[in-house]
Amino acid sequence: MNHQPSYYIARLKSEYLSRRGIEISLWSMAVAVLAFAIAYVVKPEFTGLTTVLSFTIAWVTLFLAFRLHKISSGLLVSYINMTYPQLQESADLLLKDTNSLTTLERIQLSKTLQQLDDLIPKINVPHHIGRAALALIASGIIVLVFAALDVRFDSIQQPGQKRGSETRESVKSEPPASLASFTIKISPPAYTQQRVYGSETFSLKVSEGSVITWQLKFSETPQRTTIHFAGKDSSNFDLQSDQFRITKQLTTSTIYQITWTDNSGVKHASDFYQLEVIPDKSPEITIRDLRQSIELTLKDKPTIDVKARISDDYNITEAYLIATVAKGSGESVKFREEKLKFSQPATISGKKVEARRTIDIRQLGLEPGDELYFYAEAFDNQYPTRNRTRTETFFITLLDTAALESVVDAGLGVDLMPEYFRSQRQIIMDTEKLLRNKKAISKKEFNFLSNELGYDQKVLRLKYGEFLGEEFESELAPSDEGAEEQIETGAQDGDDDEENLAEKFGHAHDTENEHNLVDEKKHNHADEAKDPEAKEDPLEAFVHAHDDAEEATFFLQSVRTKLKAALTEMWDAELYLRLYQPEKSLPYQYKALKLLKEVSNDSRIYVHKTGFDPPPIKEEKRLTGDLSEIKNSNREDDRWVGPLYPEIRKAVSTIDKLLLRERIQMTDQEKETFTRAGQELTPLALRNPGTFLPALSLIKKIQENQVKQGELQISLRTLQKILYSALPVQQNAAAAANARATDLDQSFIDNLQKLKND
Amino acid sequence: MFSFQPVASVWLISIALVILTAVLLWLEVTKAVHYKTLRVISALVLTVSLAAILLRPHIRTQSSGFSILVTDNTPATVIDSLKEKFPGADILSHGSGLDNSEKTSSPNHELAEKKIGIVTGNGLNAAALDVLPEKSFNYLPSDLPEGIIDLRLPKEIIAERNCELTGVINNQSDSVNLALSGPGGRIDSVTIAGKGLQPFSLGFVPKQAGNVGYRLSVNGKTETLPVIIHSPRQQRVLVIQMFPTFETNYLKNILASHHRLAFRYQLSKNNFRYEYINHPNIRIDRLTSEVLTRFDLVMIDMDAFAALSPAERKNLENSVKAGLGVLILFTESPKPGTNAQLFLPFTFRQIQKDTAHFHLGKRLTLPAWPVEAKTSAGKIIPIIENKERILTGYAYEGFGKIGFQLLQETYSLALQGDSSSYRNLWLSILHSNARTENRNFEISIANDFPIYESQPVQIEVKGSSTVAPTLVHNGIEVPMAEDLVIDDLWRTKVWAGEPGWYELQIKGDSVKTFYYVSDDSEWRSLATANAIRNTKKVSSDKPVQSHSSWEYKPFATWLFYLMFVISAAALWLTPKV
Repeated sequence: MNHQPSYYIARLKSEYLSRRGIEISLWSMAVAVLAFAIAYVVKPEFTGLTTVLSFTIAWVTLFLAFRLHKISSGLLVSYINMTYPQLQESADLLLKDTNSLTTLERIQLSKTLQQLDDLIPKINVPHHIGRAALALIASGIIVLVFAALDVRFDSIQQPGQKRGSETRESVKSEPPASLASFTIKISPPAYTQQRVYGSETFSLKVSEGSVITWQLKFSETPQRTTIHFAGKDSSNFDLQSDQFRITKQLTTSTIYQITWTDNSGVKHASDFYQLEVIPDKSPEITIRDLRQSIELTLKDKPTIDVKARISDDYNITEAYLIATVAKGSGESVKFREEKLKFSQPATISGKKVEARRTIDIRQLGLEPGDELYFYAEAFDNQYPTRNRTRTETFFITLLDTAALESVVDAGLGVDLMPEYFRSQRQIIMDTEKLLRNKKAISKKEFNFLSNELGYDQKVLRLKYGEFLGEEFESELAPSDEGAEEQIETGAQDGDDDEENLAEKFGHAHDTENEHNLVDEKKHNHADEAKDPEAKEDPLEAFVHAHDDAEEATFFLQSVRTKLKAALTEMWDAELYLRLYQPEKSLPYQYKALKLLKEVSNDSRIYVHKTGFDPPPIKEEKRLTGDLSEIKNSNREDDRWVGPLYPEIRKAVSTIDKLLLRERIQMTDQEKETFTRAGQELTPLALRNPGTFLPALSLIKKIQENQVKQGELQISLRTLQKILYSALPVQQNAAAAANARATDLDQSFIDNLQKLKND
Repeated sequence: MFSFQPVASVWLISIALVILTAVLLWLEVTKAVHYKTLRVISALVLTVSLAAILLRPHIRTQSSGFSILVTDNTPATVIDSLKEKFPGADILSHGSGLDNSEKTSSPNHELAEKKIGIVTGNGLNAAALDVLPEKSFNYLPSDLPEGIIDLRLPKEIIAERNCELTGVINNQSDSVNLALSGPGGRIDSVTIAGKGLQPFSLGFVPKQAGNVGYRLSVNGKTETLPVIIHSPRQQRVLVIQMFPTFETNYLKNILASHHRLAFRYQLSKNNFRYEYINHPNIRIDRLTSEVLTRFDLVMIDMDAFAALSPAERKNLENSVKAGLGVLILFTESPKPGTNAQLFLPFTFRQIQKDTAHFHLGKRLTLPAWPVEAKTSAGKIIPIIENKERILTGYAYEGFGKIGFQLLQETYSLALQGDSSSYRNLWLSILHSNARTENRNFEISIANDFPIYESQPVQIEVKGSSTVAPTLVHNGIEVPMAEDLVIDDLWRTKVWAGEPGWYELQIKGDSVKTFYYVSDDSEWRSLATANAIRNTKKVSSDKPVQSHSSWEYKPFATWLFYLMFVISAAALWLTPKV
């Protein structure tokens, strides 16, 4: 079916437009892809913009170049005339006005239209879609090649670096760049019974004493490879064929780094790696279910069940109990030590052992009053010196119940041990109190209390008598000895009868010869003294005469006499107390107290004071008020503590400034600040690698421009946080006010003062 | 009704337009073209629009005599009410846009030409307020925005000292979490429950001096808080006592590491014992003016003071007036009711209590002299006080300060293991009593925080020199104008640049200060609250009076231009065949 001529023209035009449109789109995409690749390499942050712009520019340029905005009908007609000869160059008739055609032209036109009907589906308008597609594919291939090579503009520009030997960024445990392969072999000490093993990372955790071997192979053999340990010397690797090797035995944790110098003289450094040495711990031993101090009696079971839990990180080789038996008391204590092996298990071995031993105190020879001390000891298998641990000491006491029972037995009639030892002063106070309360109490009670006081007086007298070395009370009877030193007893003549009565009828209790069963031999020394012409004993020269018992005392003669006099007074005091006449006993008690005081003063020993012996006071200068020799004294001290870690502080401030920049570019000076901060941080990293080692790694990466621009801000913030945490909190500053005062303020104050004064 | 303001003579324009119209119409009419009617109409519209452009017609309208300035966050109902009440008033807008459209865009400079009678909404920022010639408007504030509306930091933040950030947040949710982070990570946080205006405070101890950007986050949204941290200044302290005491010995230990100390103990009338810590060995046997200028603070006990010669006392008095700080330590209860022969500007009144309970970070109890200080000359500025009395305080005497300390045995805090409280107590005392540093110039920023890009920054400089000081703003010299009335007071204005720190310095002087320009998206609620506060401050309480007047307003010229373009396009594009 024939259409109007304009139909065919329009159809050709639209087909041409669409084909060309596709072609220029493909060309533009190829250009955009190339631009993307180039931008990614040079300025990654501008890839989007570059891609869009290049596509747009390319498309517009091609559109204009192909003049798609003004497609000429004549050109199309010329094209189909040239391409399809069957149209007999008559396609021009399509452009003419049909009304102006001649008859011949009309005939030719209809013929042409018929041919166009057949041809129109087959007409190929000029285009180069295939080429454009190929160009797009080629640019895509180029981009893929770039990505595969991971080309970076900034890394290309680094001086001295060859492609393939660049230092790549490495995190804590990634191997250094340009390293083709590495092997790390760790040989733990033989006693740990651990096998040799390898590590896939440079950060190591090894047992104390392990031997570590590093074996490195580089893509290009460098001139020298060195390993640096923080705080220690560095060591060079040995080159063996094409591998660098070094072996070290380390006993302390450290941080290390590997550096190598390539053939062009450029030094490369790896990241910082942590080397943690796990020390061999001492065995742990605990004794379970046993009190630390046990008191046993003969009635108790004489065995102690000792259960020990022993553990070690590697192996326990030996464990036993050390028992010490202490026999006797006072200065005659004897000690005997024994080593007791655990009965279970038979052999102490392994990482965890539950050991047991039953101690029979009878077998150890303990007797009542003796003590047993024991502790447990364990050893591990560390070589060359074993680790040793011991427990605390346990005490087993076998009580001597016989001694106790004799004291506490209430069945005996007399309690030989008084509840407390009353002094003379106390007896006086109690006597006075009794006299005060005489009217308030009954006579029976009064007499009872008076007798009790008399008993106390007796006890006191006996105690003091011990100092005189007296064993028998009979010797303490009032005597005439030392008549010149006799102190008036205060017994008045009027009391003589009572005294005699007392002597006559008094019942001297608690004397050896209480019932006068034995004639007392009374020594009348006074008589002897009065009779200077007494006969000499003919045997005196031949008799082995011991010292007089009465001479046996701890004290000097005068003191002894006083003590004797005191005892005499005590006798009399006791007498009257027993006679229920405490008012008469008081004077004797006072005198006894006075004498006892004198005795205690006399028996004092004065010891020369040691230590500072001041120079003797110069009396001629004393109290003169002469200060001419006293000079002013000066003392200077320097306790200044400057701010700690100044380089770290500088680095923190530098990071603050860097973070404010839109595009972070560091100067060499700023990088140098980070280097110095890293040096200050190294000792902290040694002590606390988990916290501060990442900061050292970050500093290294930042210095070597290994951190992408987009990640730089985050990295700097992280670094700042770690550096800031290294700064101590010092609240020492008095922080004086930095308030400023200018001349204007001065004028203000001056005028204010004037107003005040006015 | 209408008036014209032609660009040239009306007759000239009219004649020219008539001729032009005639020519165009003739050309169109005589052509045998399709769309003739359209072309003729276009020609007429063309000439009419050209006439309007050249003649500039104005229409008479009624005016209330003032404009209503609508700022952000003004409810539509308020605007409608105002329009109803003041029908002739212009509605101007200032800010980022409203939901009502009857507004004309009013940049700051245009506000200067208007008489603003009413301001509504969030108010005007400092720059806009500065431009307004008259500030006699009424202000109808909007509600305070949600978020932080007040933020305060100490005027001077010093490294290694406790610092507190306080503020008020307008909370509209059940609870809000505020967290303060610094260079070392998160420092402090608080969760506030309860709606409405809630105060908050966050504490931190800056570890070092510098300009640091802390971060304050509110429910996860973080904003940069710029903090200027000063280095602690080294103090020079002179202690004069008759004999060493536990108190000064302990004090020596906390000050020795960072400050310069000199001690003088009097052994006899002419014999002294001197101790210098971090201080050069200088003669301090006589308190001369020269000696006293070398120190920032003199701590002297009453006995030692009584032993000073009259000349020394005079020197001390003069030095205090020149700026020296003096702290009096009591060795016995100050005699009440008398100044004795001391120059203390205090009198002391006997009271019963000899123990003081006070709060310094935590509740503390210490013995104290049973007296209360009063001053005849003016007010005592308290350093440590409780509900009953001032325990430590000072009063100004000239440029310097004279302080007193009633607490006893403060070293017992250190003995009990609370060395932190002991240190805080004495640092507060020394901090307050020490000499004020003399500077040639002082630079201050009048703007509230935050400052945004392109906002004017008002700068004041106090100081004197033989020549007018030159302010250097980030390396660029900025001229200043001296106040007309007050000598040595200079002002200038700079415009804030991109977000970041900016430095201000006086040329030839070491005095420096910094200010921070915040990002536009940060601290919006605080900026709004500041604008509301500042607008309220300058607004008038007197109701605005409306008085009607007539004025001629121009027609929108753009309309005539558009008509011209359309008609010309129509003439050009319509087929000519």
